[in-house]
Parts: sequence; structure tokens; C-alpha cells
Amino acid sequence: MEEDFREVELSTIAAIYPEELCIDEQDPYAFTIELPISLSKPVVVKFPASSNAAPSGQLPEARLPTVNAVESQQLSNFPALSIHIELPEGYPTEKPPKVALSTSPPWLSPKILEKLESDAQRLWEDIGRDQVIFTYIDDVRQSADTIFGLVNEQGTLEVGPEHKIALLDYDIKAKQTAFDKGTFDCNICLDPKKGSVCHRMLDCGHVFCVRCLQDFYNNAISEGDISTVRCLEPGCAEKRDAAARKASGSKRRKPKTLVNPSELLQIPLGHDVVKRYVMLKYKAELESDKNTVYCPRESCQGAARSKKYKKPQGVEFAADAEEESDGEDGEGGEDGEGGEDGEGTDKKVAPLDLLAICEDCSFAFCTRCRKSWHGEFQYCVPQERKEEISEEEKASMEYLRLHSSPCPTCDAPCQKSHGCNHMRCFRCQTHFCYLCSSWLDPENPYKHFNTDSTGKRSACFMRLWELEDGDGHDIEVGRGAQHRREEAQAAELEVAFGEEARGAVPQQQRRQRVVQAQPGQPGQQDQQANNARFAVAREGPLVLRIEGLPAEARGQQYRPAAGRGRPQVVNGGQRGGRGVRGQGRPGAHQQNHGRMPGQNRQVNRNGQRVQNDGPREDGRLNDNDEAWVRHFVRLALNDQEHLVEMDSDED
Amino acid sequence: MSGIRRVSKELTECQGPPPPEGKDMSKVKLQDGAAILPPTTMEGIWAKADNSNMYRWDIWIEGPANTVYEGGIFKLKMELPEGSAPSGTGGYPFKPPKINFTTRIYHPNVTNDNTGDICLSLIKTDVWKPASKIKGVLEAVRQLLIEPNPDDPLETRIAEEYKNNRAEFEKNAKSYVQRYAKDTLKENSSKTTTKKETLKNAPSKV
Repeated sequence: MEEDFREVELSTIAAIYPEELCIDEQDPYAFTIELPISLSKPVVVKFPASSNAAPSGQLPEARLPTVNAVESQQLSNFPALSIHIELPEGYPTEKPPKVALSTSPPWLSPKILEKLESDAQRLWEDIGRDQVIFTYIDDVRQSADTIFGLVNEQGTLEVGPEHKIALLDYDIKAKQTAFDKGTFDCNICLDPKKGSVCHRMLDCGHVFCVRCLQDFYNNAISEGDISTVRCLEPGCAEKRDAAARKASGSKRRKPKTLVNPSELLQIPLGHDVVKRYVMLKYKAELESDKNTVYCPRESCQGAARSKKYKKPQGVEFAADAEEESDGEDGEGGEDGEGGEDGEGTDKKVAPLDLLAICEDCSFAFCTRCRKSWHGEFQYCVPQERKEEISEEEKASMEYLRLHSSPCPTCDAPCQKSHGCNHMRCFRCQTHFCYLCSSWLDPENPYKHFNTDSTGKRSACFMRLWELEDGDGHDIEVGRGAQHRREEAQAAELEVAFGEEARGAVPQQQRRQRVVQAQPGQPGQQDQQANNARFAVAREGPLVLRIEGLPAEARGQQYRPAAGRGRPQVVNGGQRGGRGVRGQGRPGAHQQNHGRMPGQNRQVNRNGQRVQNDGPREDGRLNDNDEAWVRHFVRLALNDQEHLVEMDSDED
Repeated sequence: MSGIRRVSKELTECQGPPPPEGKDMSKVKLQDGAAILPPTTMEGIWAKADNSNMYRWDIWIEGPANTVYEGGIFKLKMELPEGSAPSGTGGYPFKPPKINFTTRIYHPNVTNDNTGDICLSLIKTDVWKPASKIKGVLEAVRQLLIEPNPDDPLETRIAEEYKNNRAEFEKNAKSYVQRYAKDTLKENSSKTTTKKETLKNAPSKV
């Protein structure tokens, strides 16, 4: 009869725990149940350093300050408790079940296990020496919810440090298993996906499918657009960024919302892609640091080794250079050639700061004279390298001059790809005006393009949308910023004329003057706006472009009719409607290159020759010219420029 | 091409099932052209993809009640960038949609010309996230009609007017609605204003 009892109970238990129950091979009345421990709310687990690991569960907080190695983690899954139960002969009426508990690894102390084991007998007695297995398992299960009473008043649980790795691993695996079983709606492809093909962002917990993440990040990294390698949920990275900024006070910090390379590998992204990402990130950091010194060897141009930014080796990301902890030891010796470097960083003597060692070619050089290192006692001076500038360098400098605007704070050249002229520096986040590189008030950056409270207008009044399609598409035509900056020097002039034009000119006298001076046949045609329909593509005040360019830029005499970055877009063009806005305004934009001092001899409509002065080095007009220009403009506004005395500047 | 799948899903999200007879449509007192409007799940917004190209949508937005745009129907065109062959990645939704008013509108955040560019931070390249939705974009555009944002203007002059001379702004905006946004739904009467017309009609600036 007894056997029947045992068999009946066993089959009941097996039905209740179909997956967890495992019957012993040798003994049909012995079995093991794996009881997973998953808490609904994570508990803080502390791992005190091994020195005091012995008395587990005691003296939690008091010891903490002295033990640096204590780490706490929020865990909600613990390795399963395995309950081995043997139903002896005579159970349930005469003998209690034999229970043995264990965990792997043994993260629960033997004391606790013993206590739990003895519970079996107690319960068996309580119940009146009857079938107790289910009651017992359920009892253990319930007490597992509070980790068997091990959680102290502070809500923390202490576990010996030797089990730390195993516990953390287990938690991660358990979470992953749960995640894999779930279903998520990927917000990018909008398809429901199994958790096993999804990835949960480590920092914010948003879930996307692996395929979409791979597509996006691969694309972003191959295009070099690493600033987008963030969480893809709208506003998510920005929010965390703002929160981090707030938390760290006013101190400006680089946003740390870029995805960590190790997470990219987890997604997974290809090793070489992540490598590229790490390199790009590193480069961006170097570039954003003004103190970065580059190797003077032309063939190399690597960055000098820096304590702050460590060159990444492979994909492991050099321990977050963003930490901005300058105090750490120089790790120059990492690639085995750090001999001198080590010496160099030992003492903080000023001359030694001049020593720099290229990270790529290990060339040791002086940051002042940019020659190979000459020891600290040699006097040297910064090198003027005007004469050695190569054609290529010159060309790129020229391009920068024409098609970029420097940030007023960090001087990084910025090029506008599209949009309005309110810029934000990619490096230092400064708000500035693309046209004149003025610093803009972040609170109201557009004021610069409007009238301010006193009614004063900047030279960029109403020019917010100039160059909307970006700068630099038209390499032939320089409408760049440095160049504009020079223009801005003539700003007062412009504004003054603008005011005059406003008051003085009746609307029907809109007038276009476009000078086309093809190389080889300098000439000038005046054209009436109505038959030529050249763009009146601006609504600002009459602006007279003063082309005070240095000589080398003047090979190009032809300028676009308006500051829109493309030449002569007739109003019917794609963006032509813009010009319309200017129509109602008195006075149209005048291109007046032909009359500018410093140009070649020009012939005006009446066939008179105009003799102009040579260029002035500073790009400004001399007083005579200025007077002449004013006079000319005044007449031109009344359509009487033919009356201008062409010899006024002959002397 | 997962892109197409997503686009069609978004379209479904915007359109929903066909509405019960006369229910949604009757809300707008529309002229004869009302038939061209697809069903919609949004308030005062209709979206339809081009028959031959899922990446081109026509949008109609009804001027929200109690705004200067009330009574007008504004047509917009939306283009979703197509990815580059062969992978097809790099287009929508990785890049933001482009959306323009084709009906002219007098608004601080819409260019006052034929292109009808909209200044909406959501669809700026640096703000756009692949998980942003077209529905959200359209609703943001409509919100812009309810609440112009003169501090981030495309038309500085209109923005100034909006801030400093509301009466004049309202007058101008309403006259634009009368002139351009009344017959939007009459098919083939999409009022693409020629330049001449624009010149003639543009209110003279102060």
C-alpha cells in the first residue's frame, strides 16, 4: 500500500512540475527538482571582498567603508535551487522524506540549506505525517521569493565574492532567455520580432530588431556619420544627453550617448565595422581637442601620443577617453616603444612638454619647431612654413577659405551642407552665423538675422536663408565664408547703403546689374531686370558686394548673381520663388564687380574705360574708392549711373 | 526591401480601414472633389501614396478650427528618400522624409513661395530617428498650423509680423487661404501659382 502512496504522490508532483522534475535513474522514489529563483523585483546584491567573505550575511553596512572592493549589482535571477527528495520505505506514515538541497555554484550558505532541509521534517509533522512533498516544495518556493530571509533591512543581499561572476552570468543568461522568448515590435521595420532576433539597447532598454540595427549602424559607420550611432528611438539619446549635462552641472561634457563599441559587437556588427567606428570616434576626439599635435612628417601625419586619448588597438575601446581624467599615468608604453615617452612623462618640466611622439610612426619631435627632438636644452623657434606650402595644401586652404566658415569659438572650419545660416559647431556646439562667423545667442539665434531691439541691423539682416542648398557644391564659384568675412568688414558700408536704398528708391526702379567678365574678354553688360530676369534672390537691403579679395583669388571674376551659392539661377528655377520675396523691396541686389577697385580695366556701357587702383592688401577700399562707390550707387539707384564721372578716381 | 514594407504599414496606420459611409468625410464640408480623399485615422489629415510609387505621398491637411487657416484645405507632397542600390539601406526610414506644401500658405515656418518648405525640427537630418513615424510628422505639421513657431522661422518677416502685428498677420493669412486653399480638392485644379501670379498677388511688404 505504501508504495502506492509514494507512486501516486510522485506522479502528481511530476504533473505539477513537468519540466523541472527529474527522477533518479537508480531509485524510482528519488527525484530532483530544479527550482529557479526569479524575483519580481531585483534585489541589490553585494559582494564583499574575499578577506571577509567567511561570515556571510553579517555585518553588511558597517564594513562597507573600509572595503573598497564591494560591488553591488541589481539581480533578479539566481542559480536554481536543486531539491533532491528521496521517499524512503514507510513514507508517508512512518518516515519523513529525505531532502537534500544544493545550488550550483554554492552561493547559498550551508546553514541556510540545512535549515531548509529540516523544514521538510517539520512540515511533515505539522501535516500529520502525511504526503508533504507538494506542500514542502511550495513552501521553499515561497521563501525563495525573499531569498530565504537573507535580504537584510537595507534590502541588500550579500554573497561571497567567489560567486560573483557565476551569479552575474546567470542573471544575464536568464534575462536573455526570457528576452529571447518574448516578442517585440521593432520600431524601425514595424514588424513584430522574436526576442532572439532583437537587441535591447544597454543604456536605455529600447528594443529593435537586429537586422534594422545592423542596417542602420553599418550604413552610418561606413558613411562616417558616427554621431548618429545612438539609440534610434526619437529623442531618447537627446533626453539622456540633457539629463547627463544637467547632472554634471554647467560643465560642458561630450555627449556619452554614442553606442559603446562592445555593444555594437553584441548586436552583432562586423568586427571591421566596429573597428572603423572606434577609429572614427578616436579621430573625432582628437580633432575636437585643440591641443592635439600632429606628426610633422608629411607622409604620416598621425597624432602625437596623448595621455588623454589612447589610440585604440582593435575594437576594444580605450577605456573611455571621455572621462577627462588627466591625472592618470601616461600609458605611452603600450606599443613597446614608449621608452622615451616614459622618461618624458616622469617629470613635469616645461621643456619636456615640447616632446611629442607620433603614435603611428613613433617619430619623436618638438612641438614648437616641429623638427625631430633635439633635447630639452636646445633653443628653438616656431617654424614659419609659408614657403613650403605645397600646391595641394594651398588648394585645400583656398577651398576652406572660400567654402567654409570658422567657428568663432574653436576655429574649426565648418561647411554648411544645407539649411539656414544658423550653425552649431560640430565640435564645441557654439551657435554662430555662417555668413559672418558671429557668435549667436543660443537663446535667440535668429535675432542676428532680424532687427534687434534698438532697430539696428547686422550685415546679415534678412539673410538667414542665403546659401540654403549648402556651400561648396560649386567649386568654381567662391561664395565662401572667409571671403564673406572679408565682406563683413565692409558691413557698415553695406548697412549704410541699405538704409539709403530703403528710403530713396521707388519700387519700379528695381534694377539688375549683372557683370559677366569672362576670362580673356573682360566686359560688362548692363541688363534691365525685366528682360534678363536674373535672380533677385534676396530680400535684404541693397547690398553692394565689395570684393576686396587678395590677388590670387581674383582669377575668378565671375560671381553668382546672388549669395545663393549658384550662379544665375533664373527665377523660374527650382528655388526661384525665393526671389519673389525680394520683389516688393525697394532696391535690388547689385552685383558690381566690374566697378570694383582692384579689378582689371573694365568697360562700362558707354564704352568709357574705367581705371582702377591696384589691390589694397587689406582688402578694403581706400577713401577715394569708397566715395566713388557711394556716389555710383546713389546714381544707380536713380538709374542715372551713366552720369557718373569716370575719372573721379583717376588721380 | 524592408523599407517598402514599413512604408505600406505606415500608410495603413495613417489611413486605417475605410470609414463608415459618410462619417469621416462629412466632417469637412467639402466641395465636389471630396472623393479623392482616402480614409484616415487622423484628425483633419489625409494621406495617400502615389499609385506607382510608395515613396511619394499626397497629403491633405484641413485648416484646423479656430485658426486663421480654418476653411482651407492644404495639399502637401511628401517624398521618402529611397535607399541607394543595391542594399537599399540609407533611405527611408534611415533618412527623414521631405515634405512640402504645394498649396501656398502664409505661415512663419513655411517658405512663402512655390516650394513650400517646412521648418520642422522632427525631420531635420540630425534630429530624425529611424523610429520616428510619418504619422507623427504629419501631426506635427498640423500642429504647426495651430501653433506657429515664430522663434524658429523660415520667413523672418512673417514671423515678425506674427509676433508684433497679429492683426495684419491674420488678415494676410486669411487672404491666402481664400486665394489658394479653397479649391484644393477639385482635381486638376492644384493651384500651382505661376510666378507672375505670385508677383501680382503677394501682399506688398512694409
